[in-house]
Amino acid sequence: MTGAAAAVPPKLPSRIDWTGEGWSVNINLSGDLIADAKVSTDEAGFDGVFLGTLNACLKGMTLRQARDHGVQHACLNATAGKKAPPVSGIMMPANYSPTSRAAAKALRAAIDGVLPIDLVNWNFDDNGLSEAWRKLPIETRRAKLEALIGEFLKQSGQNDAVIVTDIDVHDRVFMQFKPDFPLDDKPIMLMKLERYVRSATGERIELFMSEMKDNNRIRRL
Amino acid sequence: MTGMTDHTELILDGTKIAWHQDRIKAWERGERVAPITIDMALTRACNYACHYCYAMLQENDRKSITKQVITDFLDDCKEIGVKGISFVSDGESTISPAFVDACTHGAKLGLSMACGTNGFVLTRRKLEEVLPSLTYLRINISAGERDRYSEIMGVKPDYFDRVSQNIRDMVAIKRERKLDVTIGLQMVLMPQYRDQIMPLARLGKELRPDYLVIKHCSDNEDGDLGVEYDKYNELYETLHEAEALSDDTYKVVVKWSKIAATGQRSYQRCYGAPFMIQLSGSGLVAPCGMLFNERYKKFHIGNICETRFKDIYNSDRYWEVMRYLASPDFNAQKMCGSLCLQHKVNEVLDGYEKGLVTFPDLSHSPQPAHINFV
Ligand code: SF4
Repeated sequence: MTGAAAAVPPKLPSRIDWTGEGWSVNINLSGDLIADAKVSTDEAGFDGVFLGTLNACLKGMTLRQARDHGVQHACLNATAGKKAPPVSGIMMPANYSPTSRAAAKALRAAIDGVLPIDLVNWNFDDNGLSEAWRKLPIETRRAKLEALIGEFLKQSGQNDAVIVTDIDVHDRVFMQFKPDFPLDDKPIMLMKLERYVRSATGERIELFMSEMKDNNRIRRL
Repeated sequence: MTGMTDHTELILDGTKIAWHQDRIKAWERGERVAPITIDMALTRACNYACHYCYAMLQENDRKSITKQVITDFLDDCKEIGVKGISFVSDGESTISPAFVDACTHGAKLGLSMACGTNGFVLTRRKLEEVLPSLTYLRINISAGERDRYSEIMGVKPDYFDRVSQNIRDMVAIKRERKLDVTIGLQMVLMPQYRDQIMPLARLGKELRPDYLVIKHCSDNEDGDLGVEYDKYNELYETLHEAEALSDDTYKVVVKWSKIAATGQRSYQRCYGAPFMIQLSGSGLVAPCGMLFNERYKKFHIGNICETRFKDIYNSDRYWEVMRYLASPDFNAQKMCGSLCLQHKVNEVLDGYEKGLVTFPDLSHSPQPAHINFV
């Protein structure tokens, strides 16, 4: 997909150094992408481990993506494997922690200084499937995905609970549950399985059930 | 108030989310917020077979929403803080035996109630019962001529006459009883229905509802309905001509924001679903109608025919799904069909989260009409 209007690529510097309100942002760019980034603060009471996670997440992102979603990625990575999310509602940089809130503010101010806010050309950056994954032959990708799904099912004692019916060209995996699999458990199982596959591959693989169709033009109960 | 002209403003192409800043602040603090609006159906069944019907793509396990189920549901909505319920979604709610009771019970509880329908079974007697409970009643009518109506909406040509009469009756009842309800017509426009834009706009002018809204047709992720979004721009002139038929008490409104968006989204995260969720006519609770099909089982949260809605809303599962949609695990540009119901709310909340949108202080501004349907 492309943006709503043709984008004129802004001329980017090779380095960004920004300070403000006790925070520093230092970014090295390699072409359009962030080669390395350091968001830091001298102020006491901030979470250095989170900032380390953030700096690692920013690597390889475009500036636009780092501005819009960089801290979100860090929040997600920082909660991976933790039992309970930090808030009961929707987690976002504004509420994850005081560090995430301040880091998002600093990062946005630093990037807005070199990359003017552009409301017309939308951000279509996508961190779905990596180049490395896409380069693998489709058969290899399929075999990997099927092996991971089998592994997960075995570990959860559900060996033959699910069969993979298709893996399409976008690596979307379609599955079917065996008929006596409890209805209420299906959504939870699918989400867990998807999480497992994603964390094992590092790729945003999507899992679906096979589509349900009603071929009657008039829909009746 | 006596009708639409007495409302401050009717927003048909936009969102009223800015008038709910208390809930936005709570969401931003990470609190669990109840939906402001729930769009649902009382059944998945339908007596029509419209060619553009998105509900055909939403098949899921069917259960029956009985009077008891909907009564409990509405009580729960009131308790948790839902403000408006629209019966639109993926079925023809007016053919459910629970329809009239659901509208009157919801209104008695103080919920804003609304309905989108093909209008076929809404004869005078039923309208007299139901209209006083509704904030708006919207008739889906995608043609202004009998034969084309029959083709596009998949019914016999004489259905057109009956629906036209029902519209006349609802307009008359509203006037006679000085009801507050807004009566609208809605055209779901596929580019190939262009010949019906003007006949329908003229029919509306004759029948005198408060408005005719002309909107794009949504499609699923794989484009199964075959909507040709790049062809909408060939219709702009006719659409402007239709808008010019508006007068003081009849508005023709084109949803330009969606028609001109060519099916694309500016945002990747879906923040709108907790503010505005959808239920299928099967009782299924899912973030939105685009995820009703069994294929999207991983997003299915529960079913009101089996579990009380307040328990579903308070469950970790509900929030797990909402969190997933709002996280980098999800990208609405890649993983959703085109331009969902929550689209405008999503745009605004995404801009707000990115620090690109600020909300003005609206505490002293007049409220728009239908404020509880964001
Ligand atoms: S953005 Fe996607 S998930 Fe969110 S409401 Fe729209 S279609 Fe549903």
